[in-house]
Amino acid sequence: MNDKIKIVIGLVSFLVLTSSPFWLNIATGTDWARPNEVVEQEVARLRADPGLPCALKQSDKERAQGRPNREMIDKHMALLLEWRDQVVRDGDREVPEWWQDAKGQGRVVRGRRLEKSLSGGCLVCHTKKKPGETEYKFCDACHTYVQIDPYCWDCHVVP
Amino acid sequence: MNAFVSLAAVLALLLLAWLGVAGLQLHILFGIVIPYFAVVVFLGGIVYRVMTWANVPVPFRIPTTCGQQKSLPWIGHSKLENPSSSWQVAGRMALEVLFFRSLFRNTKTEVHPDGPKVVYHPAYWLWIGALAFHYGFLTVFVRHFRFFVPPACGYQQAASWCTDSSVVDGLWWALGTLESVDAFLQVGAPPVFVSGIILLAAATYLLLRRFVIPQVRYISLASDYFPLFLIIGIAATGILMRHFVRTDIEAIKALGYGLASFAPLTGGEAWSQFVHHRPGGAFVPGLPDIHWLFFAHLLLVCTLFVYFPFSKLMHLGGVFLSPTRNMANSNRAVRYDVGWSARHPVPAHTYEEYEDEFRDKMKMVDIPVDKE
Repeated sequence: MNDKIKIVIGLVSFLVLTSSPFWLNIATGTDWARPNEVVEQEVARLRADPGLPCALKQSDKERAQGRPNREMIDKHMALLLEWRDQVVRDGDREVPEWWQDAKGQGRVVRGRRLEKSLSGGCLVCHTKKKPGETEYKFCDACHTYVQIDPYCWDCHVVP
Repeated sequence: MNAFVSLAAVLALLLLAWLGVAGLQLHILFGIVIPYFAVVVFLGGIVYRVMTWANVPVPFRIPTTCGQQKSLPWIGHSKLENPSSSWQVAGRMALEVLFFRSLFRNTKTEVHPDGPKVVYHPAYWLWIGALAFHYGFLTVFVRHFRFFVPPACGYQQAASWCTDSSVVDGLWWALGTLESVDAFLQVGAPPVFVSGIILLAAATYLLLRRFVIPQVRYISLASDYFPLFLIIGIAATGILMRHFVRTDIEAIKALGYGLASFAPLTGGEAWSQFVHHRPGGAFVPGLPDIHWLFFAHLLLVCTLFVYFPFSKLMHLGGVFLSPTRNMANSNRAVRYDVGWSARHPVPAHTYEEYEDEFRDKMKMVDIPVDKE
């Protein structure tokens, strides 16, 4: 019957749209590495640099295994937001304890005193996010991979 | 009772995910085996149901209409309420599918308190709730494509973990635009998606409606409550994971992308990588790093997928196949034939034959005849 053709066309369109990720991945299949490996490489790079303190908020087990900091991977965005509120709204600039030296101030790393800040703290050691470079850097690796586009840089200058 | 059974079923699923993943470490079962099974049942079940319907003959034109049929030229024709052509049917269907027109017509019947008079009010809340629910869910569904499609390179040059293709770039542009509109409130990091809130609020409203309105409550079955509790559970676990519990989204993308590339254990890498233990790494990279709440979310979604084709949720396909909606009211203008008359010819007795048989008797009692 005539209607059955219409029904099949509709059904096939639905199936193709719903299962499109499968077709897309088959069509574009490329060899690729997960950015998690970039994070692991970054950890290895930082550990190999004698000038840097291994002073992350990291479990002893993870540190012993040379594994990335799980809690930081899961919750860094919440921490940055918390810091923003503390610094901008309450004027609380006390650096987190895992960055403190004996006097309770931020440690000096690569000639800079660590601040409670993304660009003045985290990015002192971690490779900066620089547009124009050919490889994705530390932050952008995972962000690009899962399509996260933090709106911080809509206003702030990209470090 | 129906509601309690449904709620208990959803809670049991959550408990199952917690026991299975946090307790028994069955990451592969809950992360790989069950999702593949669910997708196969979902797509296969929809094909089965739709093709079953497609094979049922529709012996008569039975559109339900609520407007003036096409008639004499000086009588106004209500084209959308009483379509007479395929294009008018398409217009009517579009209003139904995109804007839920029949829900818009929902009315509330009351006996007027001042006297024994029945009064009808328009009742728009069901229509508003249904619109919010369906469009919220659609947005959430489309947004989740980012977990299954290849990462795009965007404005930067190709790296080893992105796909340099204009199709992928276009897809990411579309998904990114949808997300930035959805996150326009810019509250929190990651930002709150309006669609998630709307989905949760609308599903909760549709559930409360079944509790509060006595007539609706009376006719509500477990199969009405279960999908609502399930979808509320899905939205709640999703929001909880994004804004409160938080887990490794990179590992989740690797799982989703791996599933959609038919290489789930390695997150899209060549299958042979699986046999190599990476130094200091887990045997199955990523999976054990994901919070159990993600697997609970996934199990609820898989349950929805498996449940979908065999439940009232199949109105997704059914709305297009309703003969009362998708047929033109042209019974008097066009002869409707299912195809049966060719296969099973019915002996016809036409008027001409009738008159031939009874002409003399008709003439005898002065009944006018066509042929003398």
